[in-house]
Amino acid sequence: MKLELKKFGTTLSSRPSAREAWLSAKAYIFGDKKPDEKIEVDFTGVQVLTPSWADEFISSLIQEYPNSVILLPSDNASVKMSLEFVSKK
Amino acid sequence: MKTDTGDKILAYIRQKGQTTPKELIGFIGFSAPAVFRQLKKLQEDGLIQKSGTSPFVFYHLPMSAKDWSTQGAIKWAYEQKAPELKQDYYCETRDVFQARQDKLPKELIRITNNEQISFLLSAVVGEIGNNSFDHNLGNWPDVPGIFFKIDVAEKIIILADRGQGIFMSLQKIKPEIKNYLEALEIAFTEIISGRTPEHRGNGLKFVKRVIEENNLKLKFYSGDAKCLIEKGETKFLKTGKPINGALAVIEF
Repeated sequence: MKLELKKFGTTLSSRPSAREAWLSAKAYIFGDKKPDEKIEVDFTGVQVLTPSWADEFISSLIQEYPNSVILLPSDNASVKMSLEFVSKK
Repeated sequence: MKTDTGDKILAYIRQKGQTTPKELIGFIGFSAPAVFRQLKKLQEDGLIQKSGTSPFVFYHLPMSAKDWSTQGAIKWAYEQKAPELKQDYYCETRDVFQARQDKLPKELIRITNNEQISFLLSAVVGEIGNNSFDHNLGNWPDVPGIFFKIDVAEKIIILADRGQGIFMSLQKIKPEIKNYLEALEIAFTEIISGRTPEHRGNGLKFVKRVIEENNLKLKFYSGDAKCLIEKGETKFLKTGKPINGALAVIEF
């Protein structure tokens, strides 16, 4: 399944908004996920991503579905750098 | 050439920092034309500057437009009793800040003509502004919320809060931290969060890297310490007068 992050907004910034997004995704998006289905995280359309938002949402996603998450490449500088910071954790 | 009235006006402005014509007329007790004549002379002599547009004109001591632009935030952050803020710059809650931050990328693209820098700068603003709320929510010493201003002409972004400051915030999880200077250095260079038990705290490291790698400038104050990032170099310095909470000035 493809998870389009732009559906949560184009500026993904604060921890509370990421938590809200995570809870909503868990309830309404991942409920339909098949056990070995991959989740492709698509950053197209996202203008701003902070390490805080990425840490709260992406880290929770990877923790909940280990080996199922594929982060699709992005040309956006804030997306690239924030993901780099989160992966260093 | 200054007159006695000119000296009186100058002394009044020095004492108050800034003044309106109405306030001056009341103080000097002369007619409006006489006061305006003196104000014009003082301006011509380069002793004072006029700012604002009618009817909100005020006079102050000469300073650069950049310094002038940061005055509101500096006063708000430094003064013992918080001065009232213009609603345009005050974000009492995170929702207000978020709504303003959402408009930031578009505005920055218009100024810089560079999408990637605009997105990175917006992320930096998001980290600094949200940090203020994350670390002070329900615990603001006096006034809740943050100061947030973008000066398009001077290409500066200013954020400030009157929160507990970085030292207090980090000392809870690292009691060995001795002072603001040490706290600021740790906040910008080590992965640590004041929000125990969260194991996070990448925000200011991210800020540092964006500023360093993109040749931007940051002055970040907390307590009696400041972090200065300029021309790709970062310095941590002690300042004189301590600040309430934190103040960040980003030049792009």
